[in-house]
Amino acid sequence: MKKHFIFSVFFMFFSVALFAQQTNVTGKIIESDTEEAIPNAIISIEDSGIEIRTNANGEFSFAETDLPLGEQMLRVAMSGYETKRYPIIINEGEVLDLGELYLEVDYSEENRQIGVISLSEDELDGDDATSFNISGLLSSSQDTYLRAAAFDFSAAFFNPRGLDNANGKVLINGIELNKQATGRPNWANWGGLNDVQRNRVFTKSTEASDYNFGGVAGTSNIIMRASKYRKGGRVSYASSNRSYQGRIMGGYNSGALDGGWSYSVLMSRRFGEEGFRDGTLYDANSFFLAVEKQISENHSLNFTGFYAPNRRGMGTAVTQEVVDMKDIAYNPNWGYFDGEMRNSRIRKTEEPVFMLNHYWDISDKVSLNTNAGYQFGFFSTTRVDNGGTRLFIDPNTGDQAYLGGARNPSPIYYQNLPSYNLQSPNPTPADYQAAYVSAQEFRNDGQFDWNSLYLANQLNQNRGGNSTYAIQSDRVEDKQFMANTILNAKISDNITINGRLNYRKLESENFAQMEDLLGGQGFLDVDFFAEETDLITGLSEDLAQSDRNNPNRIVTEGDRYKYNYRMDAEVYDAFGQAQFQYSNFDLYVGGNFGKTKYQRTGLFDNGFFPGERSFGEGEELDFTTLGAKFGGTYRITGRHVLGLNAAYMQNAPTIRNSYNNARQNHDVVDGLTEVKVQSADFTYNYKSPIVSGRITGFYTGFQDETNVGFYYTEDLTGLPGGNLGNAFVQEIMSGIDRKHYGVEFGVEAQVLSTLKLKAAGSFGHYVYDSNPDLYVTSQAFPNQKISFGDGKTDMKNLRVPGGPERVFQLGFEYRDPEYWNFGLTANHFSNAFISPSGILRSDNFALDNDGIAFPEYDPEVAKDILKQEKFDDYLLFNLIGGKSWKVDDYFIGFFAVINNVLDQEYKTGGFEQSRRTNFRTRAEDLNRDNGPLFGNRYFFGYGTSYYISAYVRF
Amino acid sequence: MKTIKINLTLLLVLFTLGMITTSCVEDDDYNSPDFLETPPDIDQNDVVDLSSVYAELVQNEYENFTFEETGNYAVAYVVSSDEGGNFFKELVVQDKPEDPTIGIAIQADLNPLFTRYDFGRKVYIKLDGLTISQRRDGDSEFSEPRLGIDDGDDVARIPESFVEEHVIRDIVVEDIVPTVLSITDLSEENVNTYIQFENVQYSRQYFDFTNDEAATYAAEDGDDFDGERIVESCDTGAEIILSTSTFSDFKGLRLPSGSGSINAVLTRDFFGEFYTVYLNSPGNVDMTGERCDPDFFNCEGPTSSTDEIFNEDFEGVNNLSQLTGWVNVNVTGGDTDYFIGNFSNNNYAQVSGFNSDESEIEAWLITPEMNLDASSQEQFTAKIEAAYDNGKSLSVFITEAYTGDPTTTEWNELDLDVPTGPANSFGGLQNVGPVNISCVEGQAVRIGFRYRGSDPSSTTRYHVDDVNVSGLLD
Repeated sequence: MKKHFIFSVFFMFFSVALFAQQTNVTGKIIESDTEEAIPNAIISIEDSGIEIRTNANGEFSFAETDLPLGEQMLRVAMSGYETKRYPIIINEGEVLDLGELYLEVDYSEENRQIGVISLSEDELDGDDATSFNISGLLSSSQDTYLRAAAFDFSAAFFNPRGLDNANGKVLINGIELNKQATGRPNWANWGGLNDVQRNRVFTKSTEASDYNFGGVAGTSNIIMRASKYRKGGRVSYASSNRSYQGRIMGGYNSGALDGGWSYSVLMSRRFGEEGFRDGTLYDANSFFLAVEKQISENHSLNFTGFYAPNRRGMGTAVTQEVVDMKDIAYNPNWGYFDGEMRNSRIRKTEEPVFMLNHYWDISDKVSLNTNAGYQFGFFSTTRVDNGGTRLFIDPNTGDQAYLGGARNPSPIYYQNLPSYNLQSPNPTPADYQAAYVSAQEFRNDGQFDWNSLYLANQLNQNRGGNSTYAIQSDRVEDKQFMANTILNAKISDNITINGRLNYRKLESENFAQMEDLLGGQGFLDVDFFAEETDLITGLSEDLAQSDRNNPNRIVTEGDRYKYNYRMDAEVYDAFGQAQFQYSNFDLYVGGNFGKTKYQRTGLFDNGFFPGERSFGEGEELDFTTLGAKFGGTYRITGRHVLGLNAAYMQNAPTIRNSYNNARQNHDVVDGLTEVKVQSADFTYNYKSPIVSGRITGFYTGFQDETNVGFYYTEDLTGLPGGNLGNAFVQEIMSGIDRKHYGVEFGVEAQVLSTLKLKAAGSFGHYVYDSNPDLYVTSQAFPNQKISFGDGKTDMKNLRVPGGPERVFQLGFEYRDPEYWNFGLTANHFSNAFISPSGILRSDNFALDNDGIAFPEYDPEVAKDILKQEKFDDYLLFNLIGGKSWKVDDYFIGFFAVINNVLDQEYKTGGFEQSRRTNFRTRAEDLNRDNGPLFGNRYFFGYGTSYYISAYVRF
Repeated sequence: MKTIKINLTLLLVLFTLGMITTSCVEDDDYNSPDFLETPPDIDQNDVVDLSSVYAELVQNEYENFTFEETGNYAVAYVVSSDEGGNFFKELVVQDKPEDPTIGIAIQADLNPLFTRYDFGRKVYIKLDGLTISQRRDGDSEFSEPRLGIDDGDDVARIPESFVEEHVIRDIVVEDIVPTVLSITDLSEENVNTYIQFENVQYSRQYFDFTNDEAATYAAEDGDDFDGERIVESCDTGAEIILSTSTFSDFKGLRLPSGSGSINAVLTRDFFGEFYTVYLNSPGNVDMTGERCDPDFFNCEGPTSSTDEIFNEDFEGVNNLSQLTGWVNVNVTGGDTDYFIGNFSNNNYAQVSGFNSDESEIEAWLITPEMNLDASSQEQFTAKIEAAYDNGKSLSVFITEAYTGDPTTTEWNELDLDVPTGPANSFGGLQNVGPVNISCVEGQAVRIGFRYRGSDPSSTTRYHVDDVNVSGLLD
């Protein structure tokens, strides 16, 4: 085993060559393990704004640069390596040759992959809650605070500044991959390709990015160019008890080959019968290929393609009652079938991406990067359809009815739980007995009963054979074409111009697909619930049709049913930016102009919304967005640097938040308009040879957001015909304003050459800043939008949900010269809030079914009922350690991470149920002696979990 | 290039490894399980008749009886189905597939039931831990047996997780043969069994024949919980209520307008007061035959109450025979006939078959002759009260030529709704009519009140008062 000289941060270089006329600093960057040159490493003189990159031989030279004189800090950084800082003295007219500088592979790069894993893998049920995986964006950052956020805070679904990942842009080779439907990137599309995602350029908040205007949560550009990978191969195996149990990954990068070719391949597989959450299977394969040809000195053409089919079992949010009987790993979605665990909610993603990238160095100063990409495939989530019926035609009258249907078979259906048996204020002995029995049953089993579903369908054989139960998937088939061209022109020593023209076109088909008839012969494609509707006139046999063009259709596996529509989206935008760099300050100013169009086309003619309201082309939605930003840094001295970023932007609403219920009709959300966002932050950076850190105050404001939610409620007031208030509704909120402000900081101290202490935290306040307009729509009243009282919901000053507002970390990292390391962090989380129900805070709350206030309405009591739940504080300890060896030409490494060492139980999020939503029913439900029937539902964090990995590099 | 070769070899190995590990995760192609049906392992010596379950209730003087340590299983056959949503958390079983002698409604907190306990399924009911009870009907001893979990006077539903343990499926599914009964001939033994009424139809009040409109099973305004529809016998005119849950899948279907048969589960209404039937499916109704409505008298044109032509309020007498011209006769040879009743200083003509011990009663009360030749626009009104109602037994007729014997007279039935009353008390005198009789002519017109009953199943008590005919005198 070779040993390399470890540079101390206190080591001073002195000039070794005195004859040169020009002031310069030169050197060569070498990887410490392989002794191979590292191209493209970033060499900077701290606080001077001067930054260059090493050439293909790993060499650098500041020959053309006007260097500051005297004591300076030289910084060497490269993605995947430990950053090094060297104090140097630059003397006028002298060339300082630093010789070979060694960079060590960053072990925490491995850790970084885990950060990505723990979140992008743990994307929660999209129907129940927002998915959080912003850490993927952050993991490329060197910032102490953002790294804490990515690796340690992420387990609590902490989002920096309270911004979810729709506010950050993910680019691969300059092409944006955020989804149009949700605004969020689907990390599963490139999951398992960790080894080829190491080259990342991350831009914080609204700082200047060379690629795009960006979002308020920054931009992460993952560079997957064949020529940018370090030559060599890597094979690794990882084991975990979080989302997958095992991961095997192997890849090889060719480096530069004869004839200007280079290539990179990677394959990986992740698998597991269940993760920490019971019954969450994991089955994912990933394939990656990139080939690049340097056509001439100025032109290079790259192809990158990746395909990561991914299949996962989902968990769900549960009530406290359920967790008390089970545990935080409990998952009601699975049950044993044929001796194996089978999950009823399976999410599949198969969306390969292919892209061509052209890199053209027009001159020394000007480069043009042109990209075209295509993505296609599907994204689907299964669930049980319990509404299977058979068509009955009355032989006497010819009238039609749909007989059958069944109750929700979920083990956590509220009627299965003890609280249901004990809902009466004075339970009888029989109630207690029933509650006891159901609790016993739930504790002992409480899992999904597959056999009863098959049995039911089998008994239907003599009634025509339609399935009562089936597995459906909600499926999205996207075809997306993306193209852009990105200009980078250094028009003078101090001024750089960036520009981009961008185009995206999406064709997205959305439908339910029959996946599994569970032993039946077919499934009658009608709306089982049409029968329940007595608010509207019309025969249920007409209303119940999901497609009036094919009434009473029997579907079989693979058929589309229930709903079927296409969504076309087109985006054009242009971005321009100027960056100014001077010795003690930098400035940038940028602007963006965009057009976004959405068009829904109904492929089914829905019975509740017949003809033009559901079928064919709907109204085209057209949004124009403008954005402007500026900012800069000012270096007071080398140690003290101030930074400022400010931006105003408009975003098109996401497709999901633009339509009342795109599954059934064309109806557009009232008050739909561009979302306005303001962002400003102010940073103080401090750097000394031992201590470095920053503290940032931030503000982000949003106006005119919309949100569409779905639920079943029993307590609507103002329904026509004196109906009792039950309906499955879409709740549409518009004019949602919110503001996020707070302070974040990160500081680290290299107290010994081997020991680093660190602290990081964020103290935020994220509140709604308006009382949004709220109305509900439903197939139960297809021609009405029902709003309540003043038409508002009192959300103002409620907290925006989405992880803890306050996080704080203390930790250390020990890095032994003998190639092993060890670290510990303690992380404290507080001020996390439940996701508030909108309808609960509308005037509907105070009104009885007749639209008149409850006589016993008491504002004080109401305040108590409507108090937004704040989750308990908690403290998580995370351990990390690793070691590496060199054996002949092979480098072998091992590391392990243990998260939540003390097995702390904690809630990461949750939501209020909207089923009992008025003063009387909600109060009654919350105050039951034996617990509410429709209590808040929670997501729980993992208990103690581990991740261990071993790798070989060559 | 050697290193590349090695690397590629490694990759191949890796790929192979990957493929091996692929098998680690269950794929999502599932086959339907084979349901290898094995009959339950129950010692036939422990099997008892369903009637013995009921016998315990009788022996316990209709108080709840809980089975303990008997080790017994009662054998039964499922006759209800909640596929159409018309039964809810209730499984009705009877003791035999044909000619049942007893039926019991098992209260089970499971929904749906048809996906497990299908129609005709043979089941064994594990009795220990269950309680036999009855739906109370005031203080009367009439019982509708129900099996569940002891809950004071009543029974509660068997908790969901115990249902499978207590109601054990056999592999046998029998054809259930409905017991053919007549509406007037229902008894306790028939309750909770699968029965058939032949030659019946839905009451004509649900149909608008001119506009071809019909009421639905349970989707009319005013249908709460259950839609109650009168089914009447073509043979006897007797009526029974068919109840349909407003939660049923077929609540919105129109009632068939023809006549024919119904297969249904016979039970008692929610309060245990009267007989009613529930359908498993509207497919169990076969009413494609012609309607059998009597030839109601159908006069048209205006009517008037200006001049009184006939009126009788039964005041001032204590015996009907004191009234001149009236006929009061039992034509079936029994003693049941009309007599003067009084309540709150008001006299009326009263009739009831209760406690008569007469299985067939037909009694007539007929007015004196009226002259309608000297008037026009005549109408008929009266007041009728129904009490202790267990089915419609009264009809009103008119004739222009009374022969002296109601059974040989040519009567026309008047189109009027005889009031219904509560099962255990009085419904109060209700106005009946006016019925247009302007097309009836003659000097010897009589109106007859026919009471048809059967003790004990059809013994509704009626009070008739203020019999009145008016019109415009010439």
